[in-house]
Amino acid sequence: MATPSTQATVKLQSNDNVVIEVERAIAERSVLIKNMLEDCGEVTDAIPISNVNESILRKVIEWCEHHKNDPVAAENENDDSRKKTTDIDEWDQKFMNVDQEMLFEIILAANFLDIKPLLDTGCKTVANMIKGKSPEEIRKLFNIQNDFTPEEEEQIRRENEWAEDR
Amino acid sequence: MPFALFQLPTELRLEIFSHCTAFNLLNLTRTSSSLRTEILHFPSIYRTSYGFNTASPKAAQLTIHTIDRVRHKEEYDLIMARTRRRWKWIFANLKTAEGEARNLVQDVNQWVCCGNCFGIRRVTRMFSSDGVWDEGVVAGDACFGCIGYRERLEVEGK
Repeated sequence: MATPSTQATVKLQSNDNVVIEVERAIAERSVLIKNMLEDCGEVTDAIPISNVNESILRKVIEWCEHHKNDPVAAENENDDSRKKTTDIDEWDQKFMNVDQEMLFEIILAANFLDIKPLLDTGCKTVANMIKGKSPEEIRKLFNIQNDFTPEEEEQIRRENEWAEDR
Repeated sequence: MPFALFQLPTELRLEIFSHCTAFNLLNLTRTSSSLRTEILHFPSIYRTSYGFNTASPKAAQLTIHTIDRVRHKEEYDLIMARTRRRWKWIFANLKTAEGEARNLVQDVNQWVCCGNCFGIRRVTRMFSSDGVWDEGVVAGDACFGCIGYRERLEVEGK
């Protein structure tokens, strides 16, 4: 392992070749970048973030900036405890109030950069969009094509008899 | 607009599903063949979801029979919106019913949601023991357990 670096900022390069300079502590909310910096020590060149474009990278940095002082979750934190609630704090709700395309891009970026709390927030946001919606409403929301075979339709109808109108 | 949800890799969709309640997962399985196959292919997703009753004899499946509660008011509203017209029909026919309506209230496939604990109950669990609808209780208002709880609180003056 390289000698730990004391550099205050790092440069991140989006896949559309825009270089953004951020505080190292903010960039290190990403486990991917944190590990990279620990392995490489001092990094003067921009770090290529190959899967993320500028607008999403700026959005992710905004989130990291707001959450830079959050305690880092323990590695062995029980997965179930994270999933017991779909509550999202007010700032994060506003942050995630974006169109669907951007929301899914943020989820992909959080996964690529290994920012677990951001990934959780994104996934909870989608789960909250689904809650209390009928199958028809969910199809409309996500533009899902109904591709059931007649046999599957019949099976679903039987399963769904309890909710049918008389 | 492209179907963005399917642009995510499977593991990220599963991550989203892991935050859904059993009832919301059930609704997802009714949207498309692809989502149905995916969710049912990973039983651990629904078996660990909120509201899934692992003690049910049918616990291998995700159906209304294996869901014992919902978490959100929106889910309660959806269940009651789906069953309300059916309830009205039951009530309209209950007083004179000797046959069909009486059978319907005892129909094991008829489910409602308790407005107090959000438990999903068979319709018979919302009625008094002699099968007569309790005065002042509306469909979905409270299940037996919650009515008993309320009565105990009243007796104890809480």
